[in-house]
Amino acid sequence: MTWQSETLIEMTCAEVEERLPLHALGLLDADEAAAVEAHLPLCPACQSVAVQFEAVAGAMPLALDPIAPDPAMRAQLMDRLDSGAPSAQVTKLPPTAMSPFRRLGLLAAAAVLLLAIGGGFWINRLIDERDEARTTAAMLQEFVSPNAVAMAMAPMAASEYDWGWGTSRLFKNPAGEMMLVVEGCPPTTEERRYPVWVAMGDDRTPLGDIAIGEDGSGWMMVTFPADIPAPEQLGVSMREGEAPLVDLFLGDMTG
Amino acid sequence: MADGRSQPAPQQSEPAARTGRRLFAPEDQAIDAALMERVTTGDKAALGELYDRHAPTCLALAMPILRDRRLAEECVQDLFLNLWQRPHTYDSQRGAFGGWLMRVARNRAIDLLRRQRERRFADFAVGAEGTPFDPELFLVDPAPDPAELAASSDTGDRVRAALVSLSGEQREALELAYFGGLSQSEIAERLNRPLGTVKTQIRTGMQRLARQLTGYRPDGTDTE
Repeated sequence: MTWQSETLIEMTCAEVEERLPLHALGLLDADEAAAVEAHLPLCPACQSVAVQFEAVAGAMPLALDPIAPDPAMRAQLMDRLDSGAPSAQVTKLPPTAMSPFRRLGLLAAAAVLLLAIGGGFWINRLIDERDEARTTAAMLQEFVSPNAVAMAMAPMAASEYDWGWGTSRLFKNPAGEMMLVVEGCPPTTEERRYPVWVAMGDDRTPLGDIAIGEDGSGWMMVTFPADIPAPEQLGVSMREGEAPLVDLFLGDMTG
Repeated sequence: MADGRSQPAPQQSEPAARTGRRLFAPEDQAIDAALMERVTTGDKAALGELYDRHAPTCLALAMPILRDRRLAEECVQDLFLNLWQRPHTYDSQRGAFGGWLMRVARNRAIDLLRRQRERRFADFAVGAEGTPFDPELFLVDPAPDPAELAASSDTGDRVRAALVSLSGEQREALELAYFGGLSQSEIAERLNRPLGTVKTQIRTGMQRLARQLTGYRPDGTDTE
Protein backbone atom coordinates (compact mmCIF):
# COMPACT_ATOMS: atom_id res chain seq x y z
CA MET A 1 0.00 0.00 0.00
CA THR A 2 1.24 3.47 -0.79
CA TRP A 3 0.09 6.95 -0.05
CA GLN A 4 -0.49 7.54 -3.73
CA SER A 5 -2.73 4.51 -4.13
CA GLU A 6 -5.20 6.05 -1.74
CA THR A 7 -5.06 9.56 -3.13
CA LEU A 8 -8.62 10.50 -3.90
CA ILE A 9 -9.77 11.27 -7.42
CA GLU A 10 -11.73 14.51 -7.58
CA MET A 11 -15.08 14.26 -9.36
CA THR A 12 -17.57 16.87 -10.47
CA CYS A 13 -21.17 16.72 -9.28
CA ALA A 14 -22.24 15.38 -12.68
CA GLU A 15 -19.65 12.60 -12.49
CA VAL A 16 -20.72 11.71 -8.97
CA GLU A 17 -24.44 11.75 -9.75
CA GLU A 18 -23.89 9.46 -12.72
CA ARG A 19 -22.27 6.93 -10.38
CA LEU A 20 -24.68 7.16 -7.46
CA PRO A 21 -27.11 4.51 -8.76
CA LEU A 22 -24.29 1.97 -8.94
CA HIS A 23 -22.80 3.21 -5.66
CA ALA A 24 -26.07 2.49 -3.85
CA LEU A 25 -25.83 -1.10 -5.07
CA GLY A 26 -22.16 -1.44 -4.10
CA LEU A 27 -21.18 -2.00 -7.72
CA LEU A 28 -18.48 0.65 -8.13
CA ASP A 29 -14.83 -0.35 -8.05
CA ALA A 30 -12.81 0.79 -5.04
CA ASP A 31 -11.28 3.89 -6.65
CA GLU A 32 -14.60 5.20 -7.93
CA ALA A 33 -16.35 4.44 -4.66
CA ALA A 34 -13.66 6.30 -2.72
CA ALA A 35 -13.97 9.32 -5.01
CA VAL A 36 -17.75 9.39 -4.60
CA GLU A 37 -17.48 9.03 -0.84
CA ALA A 38 -14.95 11.86 -0.68
CA HIS A 39 -17.29 14.13 -2.63
CA LEU A 40 -20.49 13.50 -0.70
CA PRO A 41 -19.55 15.08 2.65
CA LEU A 42 -18.71 18.30 0.83
CA CYS A 43 -21.81 18.50 -1.37
CA PRO A 44 -25.34 18.61 0.13
CA ALA A 45 -26.95 18.43 -3.33
CA CYS A 46 -25.23 15.14 -4.16
CA GLN A 47 -25.94 13.87 -0.62
CA SER A 48 -29.63 14.39 -1.27
CA VAL A 49 -29.47 12.38 -4.48
CA ALA A 50 -27.37 9.68 -2.82
CA VAL A 51 -29.95 9.20 -0.08
CA GLN A 52 -32.68 8.76 -2.67
CA PHE A 53 -30.80 5.96 -4.40
CA GLU A 54 -29.94 4.38 -1.05
CA ALA A 55 -33.63 4.48 -0.14
CA VAL A 56 -34.50 2.72 -3.38
CA ALA A 57 -31.85 0.08 -2.73
CA GLY A 58 -33.15 -0.38 0.79
CA ALA A 59 -36.75 -0.72 -0.37
CA MET A 60 -36.21 -3.27 -3.14
CA PRO A 61 -36.46 -6.30 -0.81
CA LEU A 62 -39.99 -5.20 0.04
CA ALA A 63 -40.96 -6.45 -3.42
CA LEU A 64 -40.18 -9.98 -2.27
CA ASP A 65 -42.51 -12.40 -0.56
CA PRO A 66 -41.38 -12.52 3.09
CA ILE A 67 -40.05 -15.88 4.27
CA ALA A 68 -40.73 -16.84 7.87
CA PRO A 69 -37.47 -17.78 9.60
CA ASP A 70 -37.16 -21.07 11.42
CA PRO A 71 -38.45 -20.43 14.96
CA ALA A 72 -35.43 -22.34 16.27
CA MET A 73 -33.17 -19.69 14.73
CA ARG A 74 -34.99 -16.97 16.67
CA ALA A 75 -34.61 -18.90 19.90
CA GLN A 76 -30.93 -19.45 19.15
CA LEU A 77 -30.48 -15.75 18.48
CA MET A 78 -32.04 -14.82 21.80
CA ASP A 79 -29.72 -17.30 23.52
CA ARG A 80 -26.73 -15.77 21.75
CA LEU A 81 -27.69 -12.34 23.06
CA ASP A 82 -26.91 -13.60 26.52
CA SER A 83 -23.47 -14.88 25.66
CA GLY A 84 -21.08 -12.00 25.75
CA ALA A 85 -23.17 -9.45 23.94
CA PRO A 86 -21.17 -6.22 24.19
CA SER A 87 -24.23 -4.04 23.70
CA ALA A 88 -25.85 -5.34 26.84
CA GLN A 89 -22.65 -4.72 28.74
CA VAL A 90 -21.98 -1.24 27.48
CA THR A 91 -22.92 1.34 30.03
CA LYS A 92 -22.76 4.79 28.60
CA LEU A 93 -21.07 7.19 30.95
CA PRO A 94 -23.28 9.93 32.30
CA PRO A 95 -22.34 13.32 30.86
CA THR A 96 -20.99 14.57 34.14
CA ALA A 97 -18.61 11.62 34.39
CA MET A 98 -16.75 12.65 31.26
CA SER A 99 -14.46 15.62 31.09
CA PRO A 100 -15.31 18.32 28.55
CA PHE A 101 -11.98 17.69 26.87
CA ARG A 102 -12.72 14.00 26.48
CA ARG A 103 -16.21 14.67 25.15
CA LEU A 104 -14.74 17.04 22.61
CA GLY A 105 -12.17 14.47 21.63
CA LEU A 106 -14.74 11.73 21.17
CA LEU A 107 -16.96 14.01 19.13
CA ALA A 108 -14.07 15.09 16.94
CA ALA A 109 -13.01 11.48 16.49
CA ALA A 110 -16.54 10.56 15.52
CA ALA A 111 -16.59 13.39 13.02
CA VAL A 112 -13.38 12.37 11.33
CA LEU A 113 -14.39 8.73 11.30
CA LEU A 114 -17.70 9.50 9.70
CA LEU A 115 -15.99 11.59 7.08
CA ALA A 116 -13.37 8.94 6.53
CA ILE A 117 -15.98 6.35 5.65
CA GLY A 118 -17.92 8.70 3.45
CA GLY A 119 -20.43 9.48 6.13
CA GLY A 120 -20.32 13.23 6.02
CA PHE A 121 -24.10 13.21 6.16
CA TRP A 122 -23.79 13.66 9.90
CA ILE A 123 -20.96 16.10 10.24
CA ASN A 124 -23.08 19.24 10.08
CA ARG A 125 -25.47 17.83 12.66
CA LEU A 126 -22.62 16.91 14.96
CA ILE A 127 -21.15 20.36 14.70
CA ASP A 128 -24.49 22.02 15.23
CA GLU A 129 -25.09 19.94 18.33
CA ARG A 130 -21.77 20.80 19.85
CA ASP A 131 -20.60 24.28 18.97
CA GLU A 132 -17.41 23.79 20.90
CA ALA A 133 -16.45 21.03 18.46
CA ARG A 134 -16.63 23.31 15.44
CA THR A 135 -13.00 24.34 15.44
CA THR A 136 -11.70 20.86 16.14
CA ALA A 137 -13.92 19.23 13.54
CA ALA A 138 -12.82 21.75 10.93
CA MET A 139 -9.21 20.97 11.74
CA LEU A 140 -9.82 17.24 11.50
CA GLN A 141 -11.66 17.66 8.22
CA GLU A 142 -8.30 18.58 6.67
CA PHE A 143 -7.32 14.95 7.05
CA VAL A 144 -10.12 13.69 4.87
CA SER A 145 -10.38 16.51 2.35
CA PRO A 146 -9.62 15.89 -1.33
CA ASN A 147 -6.21 17.48 -0.74
CA ALA A 148 -5.32 14.97 1.93
CA VAL A 149 -4.01 11.48 1.27
CA ALA A 150 -4.63 8.26 3.10
CA MET A 151 -2.96 4.90 3.37
CA ALA A 152 -5.06 1.84 4.06
CA MET A 153 -3.29 -0.56 6.40
CA ALA A 154 -3.54 -4.27 5.80
CA PRO A 155 -5.71 -6.04 8.40
CA MET A 156 -4.09 -9.08 10.00
CA ALA A 157 -5.94 -12.23 10.99
CA ALA A 158 -6.48 -10.99 14.55
CA SER A 159 -8.59 -8.10 13.27
CA GLU A 160 -11.30 -10.32 11.76
CA TYR A 161 -14.33 -10.27 14.00
CA ASP A 162 -17.78 -11.82 13.82
CA TRP A 163 -19.13 -8.81 11.97
CA GLY A 164 -16.22 -8.47 9.50
CA TRP A 165 -12.78 -6.94 9.46
CA GLY A 166 -11.57 -4.03 11.52
CA THR A 167 -9.99 -1.28 9.46
CA SER A 168 -7.19 1.20 9.95
CA ARG A 169 -6.03 4.11 7.86
CA LEU A 170 -3.30 6.70 8.21
CA PHE A 171 -4.36 10.13 6.97
CA LYS A 172 -1.93 12.93 6.07
CA ASN A 173 -3.10 16.50 5.61
CA PRO A 174 -1.44 18.99 3.24
CA ALA A 175 0.74 20.26 6.11
CA GLY A 176 2.20 16.78 6.54
CA GLU A 177 0.47 16.06 9.86
CA MET A 178 -0.67 12.46 10.24
CA MET A 179 -3.62 10.87 12.00
CA LEU A 180 -4.15 7.15 12.56
CA VAL A 181 -7.79 6.01 12.60
CA VAL A 182 -8.94 2.54 13.67
CA GLU A 183 -12.53 1.35 13.55
CA GLY A 184 -14.57 -1.82 13.61
CA CYS A 185 -12.85 -3.25 16.69
CA PRO A 186 -14.83 -4.98 19.45
CA PRO A 187 -16.86 -2.55 21.52
CA THR A 188 -15.70 -2.31 25.08
CA THR A 189 -16.98 -1.04 28.36
CA GLU A 190 -13.52 0.20 29.22
CA GLU A 191 -11.11 2.03 27.01
CA ARG A 192 -8.78 -0.43 25.27
CA ARG A 193 -5.27 0.64 24.27
CA TYR A 194 -3.38 -0.83 21.33
CA PRO A 195 0.37 -0.21 20.90
CA VAL A 196 1.32 1.67 17.72
CA TRP A 197 4.82 1.33 16.34
CA VAL A 198 7.09 1.98 13.36
CA ALA A 199 9.78 -0.39 12.13
CA MET A 200 12.98 -0.40 10.15
CA GLY A 201 13.67 -4.01 9.30
CA ASP A 202 12.87 -6.06 12.37
CA ASP A 203 13.46 -3.22 14.82
CA ARG A 204 10.22 -1.80 16.13
CA THR A 205 10.00 1.58 17.84
CA PRO A 206 6.87 2.34 19.87
CA LEU A 207 4.96 5.53 19.10
CA GLY A 208 2.39 5.24 21.87
CA ASP A 209 -1.00 3.63 22.32
CA ILE A 210 -4.20 4.28 20.38
CA ALA A 211 -7.26 4.32 22.63
CA ILE A 212 -10.27 2.34 21.38
CA GLY A 213 -13.54 3.42 22.91
CA GLU A 214 -16.91 1.83 23.48
CA ASP A 215 -17.83 2.19 19.81
CA GLY A 216 -14.82 0.09 18.76
CA SER A 217 -13.01 3.01 17.15
CA GLY A 218 -10.21 5.40 18.00
CA TRP A 219 -7.71 7.84 16.60
CA MET A 220 -4.34 9.34 17.43
CA MET A 221 -1.98 11.87 15.93
CA VAL A 222 1.18 10.23 14.65
CA THR A 223 4.66 11.72 14.57
CA PHE A 224 7.59 9.65 13.40
CA PRO A 225 10.70 9.70 15.64
CA ALA A 226 13.39 12.14 14.57
CA ASP A 227 15.83 9.28 14.01
CA ILE A 228 13.29 7.34 11.92
CA PRO A 229 11.81 9.99 9.62
CA ALA A 230 10.88 7.45 6.94
CA PRO A 231 10.04 4.10 8.56
CA GLU A 232 9.52 1.01 6.48
CA GLN A 233 6.44 -0.10 8.34
CA LEU A 234 3.70 1.24 10.60
CA GLY A 235 1.76 -1.17 12.76
CA VAL A 236 -0.99 -1.49 15.35
CA SER A 237 -0.79 -4.46 17.71
CA MET A 238 -2.85 -5.95 20.51
CA ARG A 239 -1.67 -6.89 23.96
CA GLU A 240 -3.45 -9.66 25.86
CA GLY A 241 -2.08 -9.95 29.39
CA GLU A 242 1.45 -11.29 29.39
CA ALA A 243 1.16 -12.87 25.93
CA PRO A 244 3.34 -11.57 23.10
CA LEU A 245 1.95 -8.74 21.01
CA VAL A 246 -0.35 -9.79 18.19
CA ASP A 247 -0.39 -7.56 15.10
CA LEU A 248 -3.76 -6.12 14.07
CA PHE A 249 -2.85 -3.80 11.19
CA LEU A 250 0.32 -3.34 9.14
CA GLY A 251 1.08 -0.50 6.75
CA ASP A 252 3.93 -0.70 4.24
CA MET A 253 5.50 2.75 4.10
CA THR A 254 8.06 1.97 1.42
CA GLY A 255 5.79 2.44 -1.61
CA MET B 1 -48.02 7.42 2.48
CA ALA B 2 -48.65 9.44 -0.64
CA ASP B 3 -47.88 8.01 -4.03
CA GLY B 4 -44.34 9.07 -4.93
CA ARG B 5 -45.38 9.79 -8.52
CA SER B 6 -47.69 12.55 -7.47
CA GLN B 7 -45.15 14.32 -5.34
CA PRO B 8 -43.25 17.30 -6.71
CA ALA B 9 -39.65 16.79 -7.68
CA PRO B 10 -37.44 17.50 -4.67
CA GLN B 11 -35.21 20.50 -4.70
CA GLN B 12 -31.54 19.61 -4.79
CA SER B 13 -31.12 21.25 -1.41
CA GLU B 14 -33.85 19.21 0.26
CA PRO B 15 -32.49 17.63 3.44
CA ALA B 16 -31.05 14.28 2.51
CA ALA B 17 -32.69 12.24 5.23
CA ARG B 18 -36.16 13.52 4.31
CA THR B 19 -35.92 12.58 0.65
CA GLY B 20 -34.92 9.06 1.57
CA ARG B 21 -37.55 8.68 4.27
CA ARG B 22 -40.64 9.38 2.20
CA LEU B 23 -40.46 5.87 0.78
CA PHE B 24 -41.22 4.26 4.13
CA ALA B 25 -44.39 4.59 6.18
CA PRO B 26 -43.94 7.12 9.02
CA GLU B 27 -45.70 4.86 11.52
CA ASP B 28 -43.30 2.00 10.74
CA GLN B 29 -40.35 4.33 11.09
CA ALA B 30 -41.61 5.50 14.46
CA ILE B 31 -41.99 1.93 15.73
CA ASP B 32 -38.52 0.96 14.52
CA ALA B 33 -36.98 4.09 16.05
CA ALA B 34 -38.55 3.34 19.42
CA LEU B 35 -37.38 -0.27 19.31
CA MET B 36 -33.84 0.74 18.35
CA GLU B 37 -33.76 3.19 21.23
CA ARG B 38 -34.61 0.31 23.55
CA VAL B 39 -32.00 -1.94 21.92
CA THR B 40 -29.30 0.60 22.70
CA THR B 41 -30.19 0.24 26.37
CA GLY B 42 -29.77 -3.54 26.21
CA ASP B 43 -33.46 -4.46 25.88
CA LYS B 44 -33.52 -7.98 24.42
CA ALA B 45 -37.28 -7.98 23.92
CA ALA B 46 -36.92 -4.95 21.65
CA LEU B 47 -34.34 -6.78 19.56
CA GLY B 48 -36.76 -9.69 19.35
CA GLU B 49 -39.52 -7.39 18.11
CA LEU B 50 -37.23 -5.93 15.47
CA TYR B 51 -36.35 -9.47 14.42
CA ASP B 52 -40.03 -10.38 14.11
CA ARG B 53 -40.72 -7.27 12.05
CA HIS B 54 -37.78 -7.48 9.64
CA ALA B 55 -36.25 -10.95 9.64
CA PRO B 56 -38.77 -12.39 7.12
CA THR B 57 -37.86 -9.72 4.56
CA CYS B 58 -34.16 -10.10 5.34
CA LEU B 59 -34.45 -13.84 4.78
CA ALA B 60 -36.33 -13.30 1.52
CA LEU B 61 -33.47 -11.04 0.45
CA ALA B 62 -30.68 -13.39 1.54
CA MET B 63 -32.20 -16.49 -0.04
CA PRO B 64 -31.74 -15.61 -3.72
CA ILE B 65 -28.25 -14.29 -3.04
CA LEU B 66 -27.03 -17.27 -1.02
CA ARG B 67 -29.37 -19.90 -2.51
CA ASP B 68 -29.03 -21.95 0.63
CA ARG B 69 -31.72 -21.84 3.32
CA ARG B 70 -29.41 -22.75 6.18
CA LEU B 71 -26.78 -20.20 5.15
CA ALA B 72 -29.42 -17.52 4.64
CA GLU B 73 -30.91 -18.20 8.09
CA GLU B 74 -27.47 -17.93 9.67
CA CYS B 75 -26.80 -14.75 7.75
CA VAL B 76 -29.97 -13.17 9.13
CA GLN B 77 -29.25 -14.36 12.65
CA ASP B 78 -25.74 -12.89 12.49
CA LEU B 79 -27.16 -9.66 11.13
CA PHE B 80 -29.37 -9.20 14.18
CA LEU B 81 -26.65 -10.34 16.56
CA ASN B 82 -24.39 -7.70 15.07
CA LEU B 83 -27.17 -5.13 15.44
CA TRP B 84 -27.40 -6.10 19.11
CA GLN B 85 -23.66 -5.82 19.59
CA ARG B 86 -23.27 -2.58 17.65
CA PRO B 87 -26.61 -0.74 17.63
CA HIS B 88 -24.89 2.60 17.17
CA THR B 89 -23.87 1.64 13.64
CA TYR B 90 -27.36 2.81 12.66
CA ASP B 91 -27.78 6.57 12.53
CA SER B 92 -31.32 7.81 12.04
CA GLN B 93 -29.98 10.69 9.97
CA ARG B 94 -29.15 8.21 7.24
CA GLY B 95 -32.80 7.48 6.60
CA ALA B 96 -35.36 4.89 7.58
CA PHE B 97 -34.20 1.98 9.71
CA GLY B 98 -35.85 -0.57 7.42
CA GLY B 99 -33.99 0.64 4.35
CA TRP B 100 -30.70 0.79 6.21
CA LEU B 101 -31.17 -2.73 7.59
CA MET B 102 -31.90 -4.13 4.13
CA ARG B 103 -28.75 -2.56 2.71
CA VAL B 104 -26.70 -4.04 5.55
CA ALA B 105 -28.41 -7.43 5.10
CA ARG B 106 -27.66 -7.45 1.38
CA ASN B 107 -24.02 -6.46 1.91
CA ARG B 108 -23.67 -9.18 4.52
CA ALA B 109 -25.20 -11.81 2.25
CA ILE B 110 -22.96 -10.80 -0.64
CA ASP B 111 -19.89 -10.86 1.61
CA LEU B 112 -20.88 -14.35 2.69
CA LEU B 113 -21.47 -15.39 -0.89
CA ARG B 114 -18.02 -14.22 -1.94
CA ARG B 115 -16.43 -16.13 0.90
CA GLN B 116 -17.80 -19.33 -0.50
CA ARG B 117 -14.79 -19.52 -2.78
CA GLU B 118 -15.36 -23.15 -3.57
CA ARG B 119 -18.59 -22.26 -5.28
CA ARG B 120 -17.98 -21.30 -8.87
CA PHE B 121 -19.92 -18.68 -10.78
CA ALA B 122 -21.74 -21.43 -12.64
CA ASP B 123 -23.23 -22.54 -9.35
CA PHE B 124 -24.91 -19.18 -9.00
CA ALA B 125 -26.04 -18.99 -12.62
CA VAL B 126 -27.56 -22.45 -12.59
CA GLY B 127 -29.75 -23.77 -9.83
CA ALA B 128 -29.22 -27.02 -7.99
CA GLU B 129 -31.69 -28.70 -10.31
CA GLY B 130 -29.69 -27.62 -13.34
CA THR B 131 -32.22 -24.97 -14.32
CA PRO B 132 -31.02 -21.50 -15.30
CA PHE B 133 -31.12 -18.99 -12.46
CA ASP B 134 -34.23 -16.90 -12.88
CA PRO B 135 -34.33 -14.00 -10.43
CA GLU B 136 -37.99 -13.44 -11.24
CA LEU B 137 -38.71 -16.67 -9.41
CA PHE B 138 -37.92 -14.75 -6.26
CA LEU B 139 -40.27 -11.88 -6.98
CA VAL B 140 -43.90 -11.66 -6.17
CA ASP B 141 -46.28 -11.86 -9.10
CA PRO B 142 -47.24 -8.24 -9.75
CA ALA B 143 -50.79 -9.22 -10.76
CA PRO B 144 -53.55 -8.25 -10.66
CA ASP B 145 -52.90 -4.74 -11.88
CA PRO B 146 -49.56 -2.86 -11.89
CA ALA B 147 -51.35 0.48 -11.98
CA GLU B 148 -53.30 -0.47 -8.88
CA LEU B 149 -50.10 -1.53 -7.17
CA ALA B 150 -48.43 1.76 -8.06
CA ALA B 151 -51.26 3.69 -6.42
CA SER B 152 -51.09 1.58 -3.28
CA SER B 153 -49.97 3.04 0.02
CA ASP B 154 -47.99 -0.12 0.64
CA THR B 155 -44.30 0.36 -0.08
CA GLY B 156 -43.89 -3.22 -1.26
CA ASP B 157 -46.69 -2.79 -3.82
CA ARG B 158 -45.10 0.40 -5.10
CA VAL B 159 -41.67 -1.18 -5.41
CA ARG B 160 -43.15 -4.15 -7.29
CA ALA B 161 -44.99 -1.82 -9.66
CA ALA B 162 -41.82 0.21 -10.23
CA LEU B 163 -39.81 -2.93 -11.01
CA VAL B 164 -42.44 -4.15 -13.45
CA SER B 165 -42.30 -0.78 -15.23
CA LEU B 166 -38.64 -1.29 -16.19
CA SER B 167 -37.70 -2.62 -19.60
CA GLY B 168 -37.00 -6.33 -19.65
CA GLU B 169 -33.26 -5.73 -20.12
CA GLN B 170 -33.07 -3.20 -17.29
CA ARG B 171 -35.00 -5.39 -14.90
CA GLU B 172 -33.00 -8.49 -15.74
CA ALA B 173 -29.64 -6.76 -15.18
CA LEU B 174 -30.81 -4.96 -12.04
CA GLU B 175 -32.32 -8.04 -10.46
CA LEU B 176 -29.24 -10.14 -11.15
CA ALA B 177 -27.17 -7.40 -9.48
CA TYR B 178 -29.47 -6.86 -6.54
CA PHE B 179 -31.16 -10.17 -5.85
CA GLY B 180 -28.51 -12.37 -7.45
CA GLY B 181 -25.55 -10.66 -5.80
CA LEU B 182 -23.60 -10.81 -9.04
CA SER B 183 -20.96 -8.28 -10.09
CA GLN B 184 -21.43 -6.30 -13.28
CA SER B 185 -18.84 -8.46 -15.02
CA GLU B 186 -20.64 -11.62 -13.95
CA ILE B 187 -23.93 -10.21 -15.21
CA ALA B 188 -22.36 -9.29 -18.55
CA GLU B 189 -21.05 -12.83 -18.88
CA ARG B 190 -24.33 -14.36 -17.75
CA LEU B 191 -26.43 -12.29 -20.16
CA ASN B 192 -23.84 -12.21 -22.95
CA ARG B 193 -23.98 -8.42 -23.09
CA PRO B 194 -21.14 -5.86 -23.22
CA LEU B 195 -20.09 -4.67 -19.76
CA GLY B 196 -20.85 -1.05 -20.69
CA THR B 197 -24.36 -2.01 -21.72
CA VAL B 198 -24.94 -3.76 -18.41
CA LYS B 199 -23.71 -0.72 -16.47
CA THR B 200 -26.03 1.56 -18.44
CA GLN B 201 -28.99 -0.74 -17.97
CA ILE B 202 -28.48 -0.95 -14.22
CA ARG B 203 -27.93 2.80 -13.90
CA THR B 204 -30.95 3.79 -15.95
CA GLY B 205 -33.04 1.14 -14.21
CA MET B 206 -32.14 2.58 -10.81
CA GLN B 207 -32.84 6.12 -12.03
CA ARG B 208 -36.26 5.05 -13.21
CA LEU B 209 -37.02 3.38 -9.89
CA ALA B 210 -35.87 6.48 -8.03
CA ARG B 211 -38.07 8.70 -10.20
CA GLN B 212 -41.11 6.62 -9.37
CA LEU B 213 -40.38 5.96 -5.72
CA THR B 214 -38.66 9.08 -4.42
CA GLY B 215 -39.44 11.72 -7.02
CA TYR B 216 -35.85 11.82 -8.25
CA ARG B 217 -35.30 14.00 -11.31
CA PRO B 218 -31.88 14.12 -13.05
CA ASP B 219 -31.97 17.80 -14.03
CA GLY B 220 -35.59 17.35 -15.01
CA THR B 221 -34.71 15.15 -17.95
CA ASP B 222 -35.33 11.55 -18.83
CA THR B 223 -32.05 9.74 -19.24
CA GLU B 224 -33.39 6.79 -21.13
